Amino acid sequence: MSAIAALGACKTYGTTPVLTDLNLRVPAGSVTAVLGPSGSGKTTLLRCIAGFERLDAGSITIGTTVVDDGRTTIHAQRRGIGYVPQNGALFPHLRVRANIGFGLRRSERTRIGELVEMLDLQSLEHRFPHELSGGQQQRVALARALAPRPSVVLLDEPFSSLDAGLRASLRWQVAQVLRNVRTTAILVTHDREEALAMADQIALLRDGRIAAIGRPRDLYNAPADEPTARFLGTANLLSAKVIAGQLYCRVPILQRRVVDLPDGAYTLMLRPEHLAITTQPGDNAARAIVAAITYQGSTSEVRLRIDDGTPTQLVVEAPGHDELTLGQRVWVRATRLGVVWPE
Amino acid sequence: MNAGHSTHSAWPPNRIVLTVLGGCVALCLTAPIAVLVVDAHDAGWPEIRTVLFRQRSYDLIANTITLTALVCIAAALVGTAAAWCLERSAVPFARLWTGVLILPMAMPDFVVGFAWHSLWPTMPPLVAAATIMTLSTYPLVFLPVAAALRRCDPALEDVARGLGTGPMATFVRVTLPSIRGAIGGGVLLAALVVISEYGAFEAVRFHTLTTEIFTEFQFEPRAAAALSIPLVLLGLVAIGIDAAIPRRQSGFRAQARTGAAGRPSLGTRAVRTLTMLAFAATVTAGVLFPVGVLFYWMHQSRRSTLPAVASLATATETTFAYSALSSAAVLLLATPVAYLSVHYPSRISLALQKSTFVPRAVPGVIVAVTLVYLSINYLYPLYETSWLVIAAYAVLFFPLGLVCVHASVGALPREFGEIARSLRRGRVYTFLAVTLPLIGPGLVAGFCLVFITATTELTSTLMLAPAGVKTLATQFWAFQTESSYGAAAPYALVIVAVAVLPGALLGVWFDRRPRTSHPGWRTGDLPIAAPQATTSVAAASDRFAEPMP
Repeated sequence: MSAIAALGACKTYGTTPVLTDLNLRVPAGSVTAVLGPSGSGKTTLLRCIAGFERLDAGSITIGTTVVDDGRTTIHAQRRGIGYVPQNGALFPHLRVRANIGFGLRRSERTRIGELVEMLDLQSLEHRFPHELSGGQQQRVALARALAPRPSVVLLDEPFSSLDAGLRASLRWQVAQVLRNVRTTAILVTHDREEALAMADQIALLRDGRIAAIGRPRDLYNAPADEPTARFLGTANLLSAKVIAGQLYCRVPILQRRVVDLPDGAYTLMLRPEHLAITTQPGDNAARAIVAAITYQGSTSEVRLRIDDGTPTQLVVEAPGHDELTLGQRVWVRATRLGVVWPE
Repeated sequence: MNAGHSTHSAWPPNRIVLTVLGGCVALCLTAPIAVLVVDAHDAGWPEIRTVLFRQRSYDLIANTITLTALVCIAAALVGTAAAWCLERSAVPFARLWTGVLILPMAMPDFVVGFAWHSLWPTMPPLVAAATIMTLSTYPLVFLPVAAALRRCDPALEDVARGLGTGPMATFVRVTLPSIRGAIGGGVLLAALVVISEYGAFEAVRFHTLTTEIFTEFQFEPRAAAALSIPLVLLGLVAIGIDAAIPRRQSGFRAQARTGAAGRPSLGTRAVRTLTMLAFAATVTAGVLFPVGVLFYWMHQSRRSTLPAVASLATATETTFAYSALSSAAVLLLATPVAYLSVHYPSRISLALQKSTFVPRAVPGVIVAVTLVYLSINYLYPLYETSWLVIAAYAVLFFPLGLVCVHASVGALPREFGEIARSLRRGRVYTFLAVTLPLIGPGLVAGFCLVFITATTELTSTLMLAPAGVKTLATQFWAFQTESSYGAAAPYALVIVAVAVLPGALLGVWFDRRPRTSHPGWRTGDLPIAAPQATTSVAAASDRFAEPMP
């Protein structure tokens, strides 16, 4: 059963279409990341689900209730959703406890304590929002959203204003909490690492519609098209051919491979970690020259120029301890077969 | 439509209600202009011509223009110099000086005029009028320029100096372009204040269009209406000139450099001392001296033969009642306009908001004249009642209140309402638990600002107050015109004292620390930063002066 379903959702601001016939199903109890570049309509989608905006056409269903069918809408306060905006938006005049308890009735106040514990806010209960760090503010915002036990939690780029280290640890904590309370969550983000790390399902939003949807691994390793591949990580694209069930790559980096594809022209997509660099010539390895190295500690991102007279370049993830120098002659081969798309 | 559901439509019901309310407010506030046109039309062109085209009128127009030009130049120089010295040099106690330097603005002009004239009656009227008005209007330039200097990055000046440009050339080529909008806005306000001033000029026997309109009004209302025409035109010309000043939005925001660390030191110790002496002299002339004179006259205690129409207590009571009621009315009227323009920005809401600044460009004397006309002709039961005075105050001071309300409402992130709704809270609870506590201080500030301004109002009160009712200002004026200075002084001292409490509250509001790191909710981002009510009035009139999109 899907906890949230948007069907044929359309939304236009003035003359700018933001959502165009968008379809999205979010399974109950899962975390779905809506990933997209800025301006792709992520936030609008979230705001329509929350009830802050109305659809022009299409429908949104939460659980079994149609909350917006393009004509009538159920107000946000009756939808039973929790909302965590980008900056937390804690009420500045209320202490942490009062912020968390804002949506609770008097008889439900004991719930505050549970949330304080769940999100490690024990020492901060009596502080004002401006006395909290960015990460603490986000934790309070999540606690406030979870307090009335919503069936759905919507997170709008909740970690984007935090620094990298904090983001990683908070990401982990929030994912734990969301799984523990078994709520359905939609996380809007433009950070692919965040989406890959936290989500059960990633929906890629492009030009107001869902361009791709699937498990993080599937989308990363087997994207359906080039924009999807590029949005989720670095992609090396090489032209290839299938002749009599055999795959040949224009750059000879592949072992002979039998594939179940009709003859024709194809594009081969390889992630940087699907390639390996050797300093000795070997079978199925192409000659290349090291054009650029970005050292990242445990790994290096190495840009190779294939030495075959064409401007073909490949990005390879090499172990950080490999000693490579600019201009060095190396050999590169594929360690895995990536994805093959017909041209 | 049942509870919890609503149908889709282009305009949500909120917006329709707010637009209607805002439209009513705008209509009320622009009514005086409409009435003026009708009035002049009724008087007939031949009559207008006989009043306008005579030597006396030419002299008055010349007087008004000369004085306005003098004051504008002087206020621009003094205000800019003071702002530059404070923001760009290491004058000690900069914060204290900022507070002290805006004090002359809070002094009623007619009290300052009275003080100077009573001790130095032979001072040439033009010189006296120009001095008094410069003292009371330079803060209108000082505040926006100081704010603009704080906003524009001193690094720009450092770069210019690094490229070998001298300090003077740097000021002219780098600093001035980024503050000329602020100077323009401040000078515009100063000009509007000068052309509508009555009390101070009457005190020093200097005659302008406004003083003449006031005199004529008592004998020949038609002539007063005719003389209003050049006055309104002058106001429009001032706004037009200001609108012609090019304003550029700086491409990037300065990281505020705090403390004196980043400030270049202003020359030698001697130069710093001289600067402080100049500041002190300005404040002495504008505040300490008039207050001193008031005490002096009180101690002279010459018994007045003139019986007081209103005792000190009665006059204080009346002043409080008028000021408090009009402040409340302003807040009530300003709230829908502010909400409309913040939450539903559109051509209509912008036009409504801007039209409410129209009274700012119209001298109080004209607002009073039109209200009299309006009440006599259409609302006779209101004529010569206190309601008319309160209405005049509300029209005159609406922009002051709107600026504060608008700033508060605009600084309230819309997300707060959405969060509250997602947490199952309805409108009423949200308003009481979130909106009111957060915009409350801004409403109090707006109230105080209108209140202080209303306590010093003289012209329209003189014209509109019912017979036998005196405010502090008008009772002071009655004694003063009879040269009963000793009897007049206590009333003026109470006016000055009354300004203290709301003034302190204002200071607290403007100086309070931001309570959250929420990017949309920083005090520094408010159009009103620091004790700068008038900065935002300047900003508001800036907005008013811009052509509509």
